[in-house]
Order: sequence, then C-alpha cells, then structure tokens
Amino acid sequence: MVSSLIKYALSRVRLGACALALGSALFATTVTAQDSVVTLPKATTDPVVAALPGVADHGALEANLQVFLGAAQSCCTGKLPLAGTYEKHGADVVFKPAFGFLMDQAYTVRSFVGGPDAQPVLRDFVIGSGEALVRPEVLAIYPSGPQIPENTLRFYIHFSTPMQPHRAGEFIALANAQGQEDGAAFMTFKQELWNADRTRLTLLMDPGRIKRGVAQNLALGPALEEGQRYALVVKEGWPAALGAQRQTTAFSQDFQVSAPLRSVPELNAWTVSTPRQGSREPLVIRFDRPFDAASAQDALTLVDAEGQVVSGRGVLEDHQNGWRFEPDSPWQSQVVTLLVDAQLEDVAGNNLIELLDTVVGTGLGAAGLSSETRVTVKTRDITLQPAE
Amino acid sequence: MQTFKRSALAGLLLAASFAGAAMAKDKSLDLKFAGALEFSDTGTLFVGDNYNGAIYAFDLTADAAPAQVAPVNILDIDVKIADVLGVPSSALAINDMAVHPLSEEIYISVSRIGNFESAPAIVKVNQAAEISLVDLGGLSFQKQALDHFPDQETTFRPRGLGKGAPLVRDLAKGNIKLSSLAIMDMEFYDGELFVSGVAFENFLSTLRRIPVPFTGEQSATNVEMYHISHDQYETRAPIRAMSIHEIDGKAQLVAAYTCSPIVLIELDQIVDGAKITAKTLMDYGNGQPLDMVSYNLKGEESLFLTSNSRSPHVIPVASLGGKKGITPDDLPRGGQSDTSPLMPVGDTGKAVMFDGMSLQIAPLGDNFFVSLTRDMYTGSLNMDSNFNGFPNRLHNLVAEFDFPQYWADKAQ
Repeated sequence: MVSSLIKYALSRVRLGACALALGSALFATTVTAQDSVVTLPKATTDPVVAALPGVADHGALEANLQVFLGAAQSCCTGKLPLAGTYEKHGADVVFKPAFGFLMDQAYTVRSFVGGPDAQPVLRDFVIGSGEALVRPEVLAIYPSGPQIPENTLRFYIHFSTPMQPHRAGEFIALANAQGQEDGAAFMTFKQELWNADRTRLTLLMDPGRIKRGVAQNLALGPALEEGQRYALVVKEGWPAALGAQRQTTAFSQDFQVSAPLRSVPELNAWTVSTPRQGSREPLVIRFDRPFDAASAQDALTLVDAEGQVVSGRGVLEDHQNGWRFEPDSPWQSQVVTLLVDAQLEDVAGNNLIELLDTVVGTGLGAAGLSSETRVTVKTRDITLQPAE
Repeated sequence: MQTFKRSALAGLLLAASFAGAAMAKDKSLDLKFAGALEFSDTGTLFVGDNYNGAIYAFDLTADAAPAQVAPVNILDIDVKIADVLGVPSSALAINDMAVHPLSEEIYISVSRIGNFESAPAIVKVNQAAEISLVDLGGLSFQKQALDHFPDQETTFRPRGLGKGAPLVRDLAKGNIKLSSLAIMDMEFYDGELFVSGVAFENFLSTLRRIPVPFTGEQSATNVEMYHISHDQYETRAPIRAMSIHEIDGKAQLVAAYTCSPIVLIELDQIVDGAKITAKTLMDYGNGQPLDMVSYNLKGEESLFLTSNSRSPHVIPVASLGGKKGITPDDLPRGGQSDTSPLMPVGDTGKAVMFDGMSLQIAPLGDNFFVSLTRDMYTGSLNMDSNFNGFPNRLHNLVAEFDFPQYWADKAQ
C-alpha cells in the first residue's frame, strides 16, 4: 500500500507541475488582476483564503469558493469539492479542509471573484514533500547536558524530517568510552515510541537495568555507571520516511554519568528570579535537577492574582535545568503564582509524588497521592519588584 | 530548543485540573477508526473503533423521515467520497455501511489514508444522492470501552496453498492484526447492542451484549460451534454477520461464519463469563459472509446473506425453526469443501443472482436494498439501489429479448 501510494504521489508531482504551467497559460491573459485574490496553502494544514468582498452569508461562501482534488486541467466537471469549514474574516473567505492536504497531490481552488455569474478562476497547487529531498539530521538529543544521572530513564532523539520506523535497533546505540556498544541498554517494543509525525523518537532505558535488585540489574549491571563517559550514537544510513535514498549521517552525543537521582524534586530548592512589575523582563527559574524534556514542556504555569493564566512563552534552558518565561504583555499583578503539574518528571522518571525506583518498605512518596491522579502543585507566590 | 506558547488552552487544562470530578465528563471525541456501523430503531448510530477498543454511540435521533423512500444510485461512489475527503480513491478504505431508520440516509464508515496517518471519517448519502462528511465532533455521543479487547500487536499466521511457495498476498495476512476482527458485526435488538468479534483471554470468538444507552455495564460470552466443512469445534474465528429473530418462540441470534455455517444462539444464553455452544443448523458452502440483512420477501421474514465469493443466499427465517443441531455424530469424518457430494449440509436457503459483487448491503426502506457493488467488467464501485424482491438489473444481461428480430417476429 505504502509503495503504491508513493508511486502515485510521485506521478502526481509531475502531473501537478505540468498542470500548473498549463493553468497559467490558460488564464494569464484574462484573470491576471484577480489571480492574487487567492492565497494558496504552503503547508498541509494551512487554509485556503480568498478575498471575496461581495460574499455575505455562509451558503454563499460555499458557492463562491471550493477546493477540488486534482489539477486545474481536469477540474471540475462531475467532481465534488473537499469537505471543510468556511469562515468570513473581513473581505476574506477562509476555507479549512476537514483533513490536511496530502503532500505531492494537486488540488484546485475555484473562486468566483466577479460574482456567481462570472467565469470561475481556477488555480491549482501542490504542497511538495520538501522534507523528502532533505537529508535527515539529528536536531537534538535530550537530556542534552554534559552530565546525566546514572538512573536516567529516557532519551529523546529529534530528527529534521519524519523517519522510517522499526529501524532504531539497527541505527541507535549506547557506546562506552572504549566505543563498545551495549545492545541491551534500551527497551525494545514491537511499536517504537514515535510522535505523530515521526520526528521524535523516545528511547526508554531498560528499567530492569535501572531498578536495583531486579534480574537485569543483577546480571548486566546498570547500563550507565557513575563516573564513566558514554555516547548515544545515531549511525549513518537511517532512511527518512519519504525518500529512502535520503539517510542520516553519523551523529553522536557524549556525556558523563553522575550519581543517580533518588529523591523527589524539591520545589523549595528552586531559585526564581523576580522581574519588575510593569516590565516584560523574563522570569527565570533554576531547578534543583534536570527535568524530562517532554514532560516539562507543559508542566509549569504562572497565574496572576485573579487566577488567570499569564500568557507568554516558556522555554527550557540550561540543559533542562532551568526555565525562562517571557510574558506576552508587561507583568500586571504584583504577585504571580507558579503552578507545577505533579506529574512533572525529572530525567530519572521521579515525579513530584513518587520515585520511579523505591526501596521496598521505605514508604517514600507523598501521603495519599498516587501518580494516577492529576494534581497541580501550587509551589509559591512570586512577588515582583515594584514598578519604577 | 523547546518552546511553548501559553494560551487559552493552558488555562482550560488548569481549570480542568482544579475542578476535578465536576468536569471529569470527557466530551472530546477521540475516535481513531470508524469500522462496523449499526443504527438503533430510533436513530442512534453505533460505530465500532478497533483501535481504541470501544463503541461510540452518536445521537442522530432528531432526523426526520422522508415522505417517500427513493432509490439512490451513484456511479464511482469511492472516487466521489475520496473527492470529498481530498484524497485519491486508492487512499480510501470503505469499512461499513448502514441506513438511518428514519431519514433513510446512507452512512458509510471509511479510513482516509493521509500523509503519515489514517483518519476515520463517516460520510452520508442523502435521499437526493448528495454526499457529505458527517461532522462527528458536532454530535453528542457516548463511548463504551470493551473488556477483554485484543492487543494491537498479535497478527495472523499466514498459510500457503499446499506445498507451493506462498504468494506475497498470502504472506500479507501476517501483517493483519487480530484486533481488526474485534468488532465484526453489531446488531441492535430490544434496547441492547449485540457485538460479535474476537476478544482476548480464554476463547477468542466472543459475543458481547451492552445496554443502550450505555451504562458502563457489558457482558462477554465465549462462543463455540461445530463447523461442518472443517469437521471440528471452533472457538477462535468470530461470527462474521448476524441477525436476531424470534425462532421457536425465543429470541435467537442467527450467525454466519466463514466457510459457511449458519448457527443459532439463544439470547438468554449470552451472559457474562459464560462459554456457550451454538446450535449448528447448516453449512451452505465455502466463502466468507459479509452482510446478513433481514427483510420481508413476499410476506415471509427472510435473510439476505452476502459473501465475498458466492452468490447471495436467501434463507427464510421460519426454515430455521424446529431444528435439531448438527453434531459430528451426524456426518462422516473429515473436512469437506463445495465439491464434496455431502455439501451443502442442511441448507434451507437458495443462491440467488446478483450482478457484480456486493461489498456492503443494507435495507433501504421496506422495498429496496442499497449496495456498494463492484462491477464485474469495469471494476468500478457503485452505489446501487434495487427492488429487494429480486435486487438485480436483469435487463443489462444480453438475452433473447435484446434481439430486434425477437420483437419483429413477435409483432407478426
């Protein structure tokens, strides 16, 4: 199925390009002035926008703008337009398709610029799978720090383009300082742990190697040992999802292993900067440890004195040891409160409620809480510096 | 570089985490696959999701009945549905079809294969033969997760044909997950939804019953049956198509299996955790049943049973009553196929003509069948509605009546 789809897609690229040339030849003389009326999508999830000032209500929107599968050359007799939603923004009619456009597939926009009785304007477009023509690269590996704890639980590998799945075992290795590869460091699943567009792979260290006293830990020892240097290696030749001829070049990230993290994060040990009220100075937090890059993405929230979420941009920095938040508008209230999702995990998988690896009988973990319940921890109120 | 935008969405998440149980009612639709379809008598649409292991019930009860039911015919229905979804028809899989009991609108569940993922969609064809995408997100719904749902990893073990090397398409079966058979057919009957399919733990072939509206309650029963042509008791292959009728004074489920036994199961036997043995009534020959449609044929309650490799079979429901079940003791030992003199066994139905192959069939009003029919000669997939008394276009065959001389001679 996949190979025939790609073949089909490739044949469509040529068809689309050819139709594009034809289309402009056909319409160039008559509709040049109106041609700029339609804004074509550049990405698969972009809408189609047409400036149609005379069009009023919803039914009229649909009647005056449609998108069809296929090139303009073969449009649109006997064809049904794509399903989607229509909105009016000022003079613009905005069409959002119910599903994203396919890459390398020609589509035709039909608009009635001069009113419903005028000749329709046809414009076709192809959103190219540009990524397929780009050599895949490793953009980042998290944790990204030069030192990571012995009981690090996960690695995230970010690629520049969607990758071919079920190849991680072949192309990813943990190597020690002598370059020897450890074939049993990561969990192997039938399904690899990819994000939706297959640009981020999650590697789980085999928990049996981390958890003390279980069989794998006793037989093989921990995969990472305190004091030693290792490299996470992505080898040359891993093909991208589209275009198997495009493959990774070798990439490796070195790190030193530090003592294991065997305590729950201490929120009181975090340092928090105090930006000036009325300014847009960043609020900077230094954590007590590096946090899991994915888990920390959405775990921190600032709310103002009225309980409203402060809008702005938060960025992890300092190898996931810190967080910098820049508000969209100047700080209003004098006090903001930092809220932390209790499921925030450090790089060793310890969250605010419990440790990943607990010695039996020690009863660690906050009383009455389980990681199954979603809890937001109110950490502290941050009093801003008074406005100058 | 990791960045994120704090927005209204974050506010909502926060509110949800504060509000706790009061807002626990999850109303965001997470449908991943639109497979088997079934309507309740009042227009609730049940959709089987083999990826999430759940059945969704969408409220379409407000739809009104047309004054008169019109037959609906659409050439190249797959191409037209694909047009609406913005993909070539090669990137569309049609999964099931059902007709709304009041509006007589035809609902079709499909998978749309996108750039990197497939998405579920339901399209409907109205009485004016217009095709539109159903906005599932705009409907109120209930979700019932299914117990004992198969994992998403176990696949079939492909067979070769005898000693010959297996073809690529034989081996392809090894890529099909057992979970794709987890929700095979659904039947609404007297306030309950009956679901056939594969479940894990103990047996595989399972019948479920779920009260409607969903209450969270569900029962799963393992079904065993004697398979005549295989000469063995089978517990794994699921019921492919089914229908529920009053037979011998009791509500009974008529079930069709692959290669192709027809069995009866009393509804009273379908209780949670039970292992039951169905009553095998007949084996009408090799093939894989697709749909079992209940209808009135010349005043007689009848079943119209389609197959991927045989003519449709018409079975009067009354002919299934008063029968003793067939057991291994009743027949000589060994497997049988169509060409065996023994076959068919106990068949009370008959094969009828159907031009082309019906991939999906459903009753449309009292008088029509609507079918997604693969044309023999062009390979096109067409939506056809035909009179259910004899659902064919006999006049398209070339026969004696098509010779001008026939009419000239008749005129003399």
